[in-house]
Amino acid sequence: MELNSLLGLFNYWIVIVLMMTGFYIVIARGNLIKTVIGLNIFQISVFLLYITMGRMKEGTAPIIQETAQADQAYSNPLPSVLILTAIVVGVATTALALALIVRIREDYGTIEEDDILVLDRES
Amino acid sequence: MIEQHLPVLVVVLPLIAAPLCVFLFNRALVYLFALTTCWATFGLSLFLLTKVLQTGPISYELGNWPAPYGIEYIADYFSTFVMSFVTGVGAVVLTYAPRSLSQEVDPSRHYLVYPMYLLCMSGLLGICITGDLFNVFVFLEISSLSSYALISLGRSSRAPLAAFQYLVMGTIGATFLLIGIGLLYQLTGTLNMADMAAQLGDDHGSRTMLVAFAFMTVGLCIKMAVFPLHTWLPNAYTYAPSVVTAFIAATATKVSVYAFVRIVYSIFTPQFAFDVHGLDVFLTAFSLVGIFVASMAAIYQGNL
Repeated sequence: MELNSLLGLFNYWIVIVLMMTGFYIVIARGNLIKTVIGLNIFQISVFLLYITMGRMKEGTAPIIQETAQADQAYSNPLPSVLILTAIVVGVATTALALALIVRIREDYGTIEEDDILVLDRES
Repeated sequence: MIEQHLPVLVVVLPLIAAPLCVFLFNRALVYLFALTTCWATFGLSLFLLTKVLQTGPISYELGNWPAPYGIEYIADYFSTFVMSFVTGVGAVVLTYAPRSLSQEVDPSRHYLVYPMYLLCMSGLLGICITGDLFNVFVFLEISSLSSYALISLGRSSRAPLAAFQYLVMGTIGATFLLIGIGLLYQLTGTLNMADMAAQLGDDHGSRTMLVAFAFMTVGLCIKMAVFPLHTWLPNAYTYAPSVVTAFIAATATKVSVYAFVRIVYSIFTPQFAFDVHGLDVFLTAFSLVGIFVASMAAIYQGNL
């Protein structure tokens, strides 16, 4: 692959790196808080994917002004709007996950998944 | 006048009733209110079903924005049937809720069960009726988030952990679906399912389309609990209060199957999914393994 196309896809490389980082944290970490952090990184990589696809080179905010040139390019606002919804969903998910972790901590006294499984087996 | 807005009314009625439930602190009053809403929604969806059977599929434009740009609701034979099924199960299960709740849920939390239940039902109905792909994601998250909360209400100390595991798996599944939707939007520039299918046409060679299809399949398979991705399901159903299990087991996974069928048949076309990529072989193999492994696990289960 040429250097130009590698650099041109810079945002997408970042998306993939973030996605895999988040996914790895979710799978590999036993600490529940760290799982939630991984989940957030995973979701944020998708937000970045959406925002990247709406952006256009030399495109401005999609507001038509009288002073604008005739060939002025505009970025697509729709992906940003969609991702606003997805961010709200992500925040709600995080809040619910943290609330569940508080209850797990109250019941078990730990937030390490391995310790919780040991406690479960003993009871 | 109101009859013309029937498709959106079925989704909006439980959605509006849910927050109202929180303000009614009296336990019996909340129950009666939620029960009335449930049966009313069931009646509305049956009415919609008979109307669709008489006149054929109904298309409803939300806020009067024309179809490819605005959000379109499509009430056809399949979607209204699934909606009647979901609301029917929901109404019948809720009728018998108080006994289960009084034995399994902390009394101070009773009034929270009903709004969550209505929200979950509203989300499932939205998945059924919408013709807009991003709306599917939003409604999927509405129903999932409320079902995580419902599962965590179980009295056993393992219920929050089961809900947490479901939350992690469910969020990964929904995010996979979101990636797939994004890639399809990138390819077609539209979110309306019918318009998307028209834009894709018979072109089955594109790599983006294949990747989008793979992400959506895996994402929905997590929600459907197809064999290797089923790990969240047993604990979630075991530790949830029995009303919640009865409702969610009967509807949530089935609506995910419905969404998957919708996506395969109305966007990707069966030729693309089955003939070109052989999805049927994989799905049959995993379902068969799932049937046998689950049955074996049930036979050797010591904890009933």
